[in-house]
Amino acid sequence: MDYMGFLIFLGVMLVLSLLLISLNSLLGPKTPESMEDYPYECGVPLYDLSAQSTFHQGYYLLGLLLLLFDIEAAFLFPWTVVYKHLGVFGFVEMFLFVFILTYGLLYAWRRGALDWQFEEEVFER
Amino acid sequence: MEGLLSALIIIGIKILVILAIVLGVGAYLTLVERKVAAHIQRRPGPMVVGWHGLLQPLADGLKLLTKEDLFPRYGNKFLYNLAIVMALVPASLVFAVVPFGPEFEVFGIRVKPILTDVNVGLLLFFALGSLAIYAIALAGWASNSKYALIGSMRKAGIVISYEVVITFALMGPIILAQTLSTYSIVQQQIEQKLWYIWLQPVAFVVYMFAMLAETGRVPFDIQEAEAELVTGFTVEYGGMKFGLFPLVEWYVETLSLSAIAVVVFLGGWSPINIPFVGFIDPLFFLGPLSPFVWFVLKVSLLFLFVLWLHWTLPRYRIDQITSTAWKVMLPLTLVNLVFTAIIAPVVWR
Amino acid sequence: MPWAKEEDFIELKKKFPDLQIEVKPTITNLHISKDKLIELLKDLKDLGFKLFVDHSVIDFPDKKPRFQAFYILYNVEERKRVVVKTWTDGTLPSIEKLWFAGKWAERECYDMFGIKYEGHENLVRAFMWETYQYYPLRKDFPLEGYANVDLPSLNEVLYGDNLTGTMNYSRMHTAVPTLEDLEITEKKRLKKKAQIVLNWGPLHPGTHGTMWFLFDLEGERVVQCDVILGQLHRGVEKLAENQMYNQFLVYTDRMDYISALCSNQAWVVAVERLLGIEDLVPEKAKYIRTMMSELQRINSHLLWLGTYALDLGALTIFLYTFKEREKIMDIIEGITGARLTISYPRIGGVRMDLPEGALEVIKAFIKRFPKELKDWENMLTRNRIWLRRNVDVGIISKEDVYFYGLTGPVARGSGVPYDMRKLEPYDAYPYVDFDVPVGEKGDVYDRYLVRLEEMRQSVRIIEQCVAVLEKMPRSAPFFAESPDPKKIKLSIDGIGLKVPEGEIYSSGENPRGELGFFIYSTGGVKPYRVKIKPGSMYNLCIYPKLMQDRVIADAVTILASLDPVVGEIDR
Repeated sequence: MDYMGFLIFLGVMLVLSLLLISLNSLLGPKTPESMEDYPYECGVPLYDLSAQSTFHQGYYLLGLLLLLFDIEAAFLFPWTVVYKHLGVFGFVEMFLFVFILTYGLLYAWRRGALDWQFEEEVFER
Repeated sequence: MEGLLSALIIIGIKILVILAIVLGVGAYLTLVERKVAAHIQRRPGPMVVGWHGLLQPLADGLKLLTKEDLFPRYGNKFLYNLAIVMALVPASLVFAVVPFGPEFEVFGIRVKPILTDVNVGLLLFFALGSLAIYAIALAGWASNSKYALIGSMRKAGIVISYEVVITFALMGPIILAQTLSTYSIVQQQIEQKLWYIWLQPVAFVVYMFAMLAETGRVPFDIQEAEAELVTGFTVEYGGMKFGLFPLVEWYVETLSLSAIAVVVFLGGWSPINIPFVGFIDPLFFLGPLSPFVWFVLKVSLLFLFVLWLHWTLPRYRIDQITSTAWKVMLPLTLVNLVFTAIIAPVVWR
Repeated sequence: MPWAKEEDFIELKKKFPDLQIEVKPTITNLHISKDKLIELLKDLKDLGFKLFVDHSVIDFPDKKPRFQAFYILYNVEERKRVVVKTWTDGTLPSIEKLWFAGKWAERECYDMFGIKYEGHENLVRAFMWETYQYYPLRKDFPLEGYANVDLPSLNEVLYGDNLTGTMNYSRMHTAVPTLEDLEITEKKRLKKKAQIVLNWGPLHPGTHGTMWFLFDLEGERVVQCDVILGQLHRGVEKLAENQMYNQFLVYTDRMDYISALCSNQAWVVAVERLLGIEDLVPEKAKYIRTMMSELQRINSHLLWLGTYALDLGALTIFLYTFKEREKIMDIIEGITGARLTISYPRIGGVRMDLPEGALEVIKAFIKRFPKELKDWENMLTRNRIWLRRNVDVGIISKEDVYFYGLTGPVARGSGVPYDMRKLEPYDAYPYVDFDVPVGEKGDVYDRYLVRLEEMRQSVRIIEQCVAVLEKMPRSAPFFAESPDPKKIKLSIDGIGLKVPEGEIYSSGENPRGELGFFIYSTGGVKPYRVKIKPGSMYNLCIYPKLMQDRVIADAVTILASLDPVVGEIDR
């Protein structure tokens, strides 16, 4: 019952966004030209035809780190809400938990997962 | 049945108000930004359309709506359109958990000016924020253009780094308030006579940084760095589809994140606060409207501060941004968390 | 004139018996045969002539061998310049190992003359597309080109219009590159080694003009990079062979259009030196030319600062600098009549006198300007974000300056005090007092500081010029009187000015680098060959090296700090 407003709003926003997307095709002019949908590469022919090739794995490492820390956050949320009733025991317990995960962050830092731009990659030129 | 009908009507009115904010105020914020930017740069800004440019957003919206609907040649049509939906919907849904003022009575019905007052309101906010990443990644991938892909990967990298930072930064006030419901957090601040910013300045500063990064504002706006990537992941979008992306990113998201900042750190709709002593209300003459005015005032202050930074500072490089997030901000938030856990019992007494 | 004397080459004469040393008042030539060329250049480099200035070729279709190649070198410590010449029929050894800038000069000679270089790593055309068939600067290529491509007009293609009468243009056209030509060009220029190749191309708001970069990317890191030039190539050197000396003046300011007055001044001083009349130019004209050049230098550096800050995200500085630029351009328009392509100096003086009130306006401007400069410096110079993006980025060492032929603020930022206004003074520069700022580390931040300081020194020069000009009587001459009106016909429009036989290389200090003119004259009113040394082109040739192993985000920073202008690079 609490979420009814939310769900109605969700529906309204979905409809609205679909409407906004389709408005362009309804209201806009239609003048097809041969080169107008060529991908933007500063006006010259593409060197590589498809951009959906491999990409740098530094981004993937960031995603992994996000996963770890989001799950840690998910565990911390209930603790923060009921902290008042937990006393010193709760504090020490969570301190240990956060400490272990911080140690994980330090490990990632030391191993260079966070300097993802300038890894020591030996590349034959 | 009677209760259901009145509940539906109230929900309908609230939805209309929020829609007015998302689309209407959001569009007018483009004008505010352009005027503020212009005056910082010693020029008048938009002056032609309407009196001093007041109808400019209308003109811009009409222009964008009547542009040709292009589709990149090698793109993926379904993901291309899905990206826009995933950008607009979660960003505006955040307003569902933002409380605009205290509970009031109208025609004998008690109304809370918040759309969904659930006791996990902040959790909903975090979840919706995480959905925003999909929009960015999908837009870049679906366009199948190198510039779009590079831009979207960069932006996605930044957003996920600062997601973590926001999550941990907001845990401090949650400890002090012992609840995840946004309405109750404001009530707790009023009861404890304490804006949480006095106790959590570090968390506030970190949250502001993270807000600038999430919404793609300077100094973290490598996405819109025209000199490098033209318009980044929106380079293959045209017309209103293109118009929606900055609207959502720069204006709707900034508004919603500022609103959450005001709710969590600055006491929501309460007037000026002296810690542990009480509240002073210079706007007492407005009567029952005063809390709403205070809320709007605080959100506008934060927004203007963000604008001020945008037009003054240069921008950082991508690796500097992500390394700042993980090496500086995250440890700061963890330290803040431990510190808050220690001093919380003192506050409650 | 800092030309080397015969005494400097005594040991070389012993080593190379067939070396001929020719010393003239305007130039010093060393003639050598083609097979000993590389050795001679290497020995000259060890002797101290380390800075590569220019290299090109002159075409003598009646002589055998046909082409005369020349290499201009400069000794920075002893301030001496020398030109090495050799004759060839179509092939030359490549000096790529001695000077990297030579690689780009050789590409240009291959493109324009068809000279094949042995040992060159990737001999591609510099300005034209790869499948272009002709060599334009040869004397047998007509000025209008060969109109042998059939191209219909746009009206015909879209609407099938049949234009008649005076609108019936000829359908035959000179060659125009198609998309396949462009693809062949880019594939030949860069062989892909890493994940994707990104075109940071001619139509892009971040490159300062229509330059076309190819980045070979591995994620965000650039593995290799190359530049394709020629999108703004207008054939200025070919045009120069068909214009009189004063008519060519208007082409010089269209090359480096941002510092037009300085380019004009460099050309005018070169021709005056070739004629030998530089002492006859009246003092008033010299001071006026100096003052206008320094105003133009401030103008150019303001544009650089605005676009540099804009590229890095500080959007407001762009508007502040352009406001100051408007003031300067209003002053220049009031004095000369034009804002962008000015052509105010003439061979022998200036076109007209300063109007009334000009000096007061300039004084008011330079009174206010240093305060504005200080305001912007407060915003940027110690700004933490600015420092993080600029310090230790794009470091150029002193050896690089010589190897890549860098000049201008790029060289001065790396610690080489190379300023043509001090090394080979012209106009009123010997009589005014100014300092030349020199950097230490050679990174982007140093170049930024060097240019800011240069603006302040320009203000100092303008103050002194204004003080001198105020004291001069109003009737002081602003144009030279010719010593022998039959031989040297000096007039403000310059028609019929005959320059005697001879050659000269003379350069001026543009805000971007050294703009040099090598003029080869065989008598007559038109030059036989004009080679323009573009400071921006050799400054740009260090870009691929600086971009290796850097992120794309630095591409903008480094490019902005090198401050190229495509009009000068492509000519």
